Amino acid sequence: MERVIGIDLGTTNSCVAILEGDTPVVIPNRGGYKTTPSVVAVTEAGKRLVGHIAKRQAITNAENTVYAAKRLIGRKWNSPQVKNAIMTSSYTIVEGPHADVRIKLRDKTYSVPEVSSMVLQEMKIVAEDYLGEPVKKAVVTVPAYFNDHQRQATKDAGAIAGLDVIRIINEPTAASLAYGYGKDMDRTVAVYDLGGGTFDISILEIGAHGVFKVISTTGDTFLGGEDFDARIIDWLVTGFQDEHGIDLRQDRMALQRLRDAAEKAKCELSGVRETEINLPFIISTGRNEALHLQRTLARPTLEKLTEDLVERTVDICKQALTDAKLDVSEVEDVILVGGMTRMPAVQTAVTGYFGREPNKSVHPDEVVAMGAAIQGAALVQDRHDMILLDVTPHALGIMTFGSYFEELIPQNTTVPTSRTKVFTTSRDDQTAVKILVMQGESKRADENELLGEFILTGLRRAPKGHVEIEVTFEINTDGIVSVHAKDMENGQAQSIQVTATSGLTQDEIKNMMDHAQDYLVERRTDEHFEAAKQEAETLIAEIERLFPEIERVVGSADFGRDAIAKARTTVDRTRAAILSKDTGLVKEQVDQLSRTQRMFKGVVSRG
Amino acid sequence: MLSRVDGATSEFEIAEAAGLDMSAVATTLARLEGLGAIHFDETTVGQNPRPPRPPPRPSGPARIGPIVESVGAAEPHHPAAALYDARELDEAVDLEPERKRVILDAFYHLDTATHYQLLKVEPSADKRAIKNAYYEIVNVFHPDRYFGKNLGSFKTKLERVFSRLTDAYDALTRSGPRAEYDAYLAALHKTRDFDHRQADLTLEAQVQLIQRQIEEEARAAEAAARGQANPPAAPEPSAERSITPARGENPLPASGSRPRLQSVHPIDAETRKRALARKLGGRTMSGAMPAVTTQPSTSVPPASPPATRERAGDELKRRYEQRVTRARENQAERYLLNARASLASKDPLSAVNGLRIAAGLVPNNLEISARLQEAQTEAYVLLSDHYLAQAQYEEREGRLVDAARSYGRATAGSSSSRTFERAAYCTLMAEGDLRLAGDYARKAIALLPAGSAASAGGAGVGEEAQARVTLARIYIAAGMKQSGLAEFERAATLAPKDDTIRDWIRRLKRGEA
Repeated sequence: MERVIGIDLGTTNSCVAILEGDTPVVIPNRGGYKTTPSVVAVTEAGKRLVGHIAKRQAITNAENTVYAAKRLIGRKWNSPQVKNAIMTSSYTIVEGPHADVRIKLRDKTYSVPEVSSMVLQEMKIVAEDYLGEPVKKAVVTVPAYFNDHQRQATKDAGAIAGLDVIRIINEPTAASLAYGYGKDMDRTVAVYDLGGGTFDISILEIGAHGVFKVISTTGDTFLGGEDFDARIIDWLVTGFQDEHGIDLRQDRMALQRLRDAAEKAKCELSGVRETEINLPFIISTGRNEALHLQRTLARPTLEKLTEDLVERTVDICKQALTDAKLDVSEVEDVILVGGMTRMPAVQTAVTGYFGREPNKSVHPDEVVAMGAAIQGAALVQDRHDMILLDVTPHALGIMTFGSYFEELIPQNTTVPTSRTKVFTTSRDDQTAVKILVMQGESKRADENELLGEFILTGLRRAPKGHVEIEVTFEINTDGIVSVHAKDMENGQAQSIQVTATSGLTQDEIKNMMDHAQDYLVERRTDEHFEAAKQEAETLIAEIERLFPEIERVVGSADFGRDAIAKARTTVDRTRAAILSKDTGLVKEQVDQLSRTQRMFKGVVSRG
Repeated sequence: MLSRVDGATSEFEIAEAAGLDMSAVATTLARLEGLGAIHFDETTVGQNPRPPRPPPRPSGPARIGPIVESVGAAEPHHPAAALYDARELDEAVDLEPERKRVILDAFYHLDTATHYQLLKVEPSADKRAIKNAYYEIVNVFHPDRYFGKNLGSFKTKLERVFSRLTDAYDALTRSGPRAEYDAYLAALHKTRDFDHRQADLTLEAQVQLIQRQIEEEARAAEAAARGQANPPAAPEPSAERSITPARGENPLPASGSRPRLQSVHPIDAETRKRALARKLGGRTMSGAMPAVTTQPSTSVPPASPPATRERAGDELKRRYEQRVTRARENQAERYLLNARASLASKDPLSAVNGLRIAAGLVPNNLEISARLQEAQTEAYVLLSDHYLAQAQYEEREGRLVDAARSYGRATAGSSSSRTFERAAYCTLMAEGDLRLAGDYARKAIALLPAGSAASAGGAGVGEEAQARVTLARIYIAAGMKQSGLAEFERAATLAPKDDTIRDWIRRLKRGEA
């Protein structure tokens, strides 16, 4: 049976897991870490870096390092969130050809799914190294409150990375799977998921026969750890400006250092009462003198700075319970997910609202990937021990006369589902009607996301309101929306499968897949070269260590002199091969070197 | 055989209905259980998987009482095989044949099954039981169970079934919607029971049966009087079994709304007798009903010597007819007696049933006709509220055709203008009979207090305007533009500020509508 990995593609960190037997296992990366920063960079030499290595060089290469790409995925160029990101990002965001968002790194522009695909590809490699076999299928998680564009963009990112994303599941739902899987329980739980970029709250019922049924889910896709960091950065920048009259935001490197310092301070304050932020030589003034930033941040100050953010999450929790038609006392357990839930103020707020201590049995950074791995295995293996019933997080409907949004499938409807409604024409003698398929909660159509449109023609001529059109919406198990419109009088019908767009065309995706493949080949070649080089260098070091002793043993014997000269030539050739980056040649030389080394060792031991 | 399994029928009854012997039935049921198509209830099986065949009823009196048939319970259990084309089972998909059957059965029951039947729970089930039933059943119908398999047309079917199961679950696990649904079901059961009896040709068959029995009895009595002993017929199977007859069992063609006694297709006596025995079996009777004594039947009246044949034949015929008439009158009298009791105890539904049989036996009896009228009116009044609740629910659910029908029924016992108006409106919207819709609308207006227009601002004004708008739209739909315009204008005087009415008038005058 083909293995399916579960990937939590996070705003700040990503994580990959697989089900081993009945146990979900988080796969560590080469550095031994269970999570990998969702950071991508391009070096001056044009080399791509992903993960810890990219994060480490961010300060010196701020303009070409992308973090939190997830906040941009599937968004339109003119959306307020993108405007916000342009203001606060150290990398350059430009408009794409389809009113989408592109990121400029060095001399190339990348689409957001492409950047995300680099992270996914990294996670794929981590899993392949661990499993020792190629991985093709994955379940990838997204914030529950993501709309269809964002989901599709994430799917596209998977495709670019060479992964068949068999299912996109919601992060809080995934967390609940990891929490309840294999435990025969019957309870109502709340999953409070405050991650790096997004906040989600889901209310679920976990019941007999391994059924996980989501009752309601809601959230904010622009509320997370990044916003907490931004408050600290603001505080630092404002303080610095008051003191020195210099706006640190103008300097990208300074901004990146502030970002790192803010995140670090925030994390530290979960454990200690106060922490020192110390950034020497943060900026140089025109008179060639450097300024330093040094401030002490205390936990109460941080809590004051971010109070409204925490309150917003509690308001959203209230909304989720209202939607679920449940009283807060009916929630039997609260699961905390996401790194931000380590913040004491967050835990206090959750405890206060739900009236109970949150459950501490799951790891907030790993539980989502574990849940994705469980769902992946449940789908492809005939396990029959778990079934996930999720809901559509946003209402689906059409635009009606006067630019109103008329909902057909309400928010929090269990999928798969279908709903039908009858509409009438809005003008006299209207012979065609344009069906605009929209997603969102606003009564005003233009405030919702447009998913697709089509035209139903051939309506009979009649006064307005006289022609009835039956519109049916269907969401299938894979989350694909189909819309069917029918003139009830003459049976004229028209339907479409709504494919949300990530902002990329199929050709573009294909192209990017090829690039990703090229990168993979290149990277694998690099790895082989590195491995050969390391082996060669170890051997050279060993041989060179033996030279004096060999010379002593063989003395002035001719054969000894020849052997030594030959060994020196081999070492030189190897060095040349390494310089020329020729993996094949290095490997050849490695063989030579090992023979020489064996011979030397033999001589030394006999001597 | 699967189609006979409805949770109430015993193995013995299945054997009888399917014409198989008991061991074959038991084997097949065991196999079906193994495949997961059916399951045995602990209470009925467990200790006593094969109930002994009931002892043959001793020959002697058979009882005929008012036939109170519980159709509600049996109706949704159509014989599954008749619901879909068996070729659908042949579709080449990655599913076991039994799984296909289960899916198709569920899919084709979606329109008729109640929420409870879909989830396979008792209407009295508590929230926990409903949840557990749902959790169990979604494991069969959630498409993820078959991930990566080729499901063909079954994928959409699974999705539909799942979606309906979830709707049922959502409605039944929330107290508000459940109460609403239960009220609707209660109304539906009451009214459907009545509707069914109204249109039920089995009543006709029952009349026929009683007739036949009376005739046989008369013949037997005649024969007995002539001193010719007849061998007792084979004993009838016992009637002490609970059988829920499947709807498809009715051998009579379902045509025409009123029963016509003369045009009944002949059915063989044995089948009929068995059917009657089954119908009578174990039923509760309302009111005391004296038992009618029947003698074991003979096939033909005995032959007479040729010489006296003609005279004796006439005499025989006269006596025979007298007997039959007397017996019929006796029977009808009993039904009438019983119906009076039912009416007195406010049970017009039973009364209607009995009276229709009585009217069938004695077609020209004035009292019976009058009582039948009376009982029917009373039944409609009694049911009016149920029909109304049902109609409102159906209208909310967007089922306009059903709503139009239910509102229509509700009008029969109602004097509420609003009910008539809704009946008119729904009939119009459901593209029903426009003349009927017009009648409803006019009645709606007539039922409002006269001169409500004069006392402007009264509650009746809005209602009258609305009824007139509905009537106007009915006229227009029927192509009567002038009448429509006139009604709109009357509505406009009642509700001068209503934009929609003004807009209609403007367009009508311009000849646009």
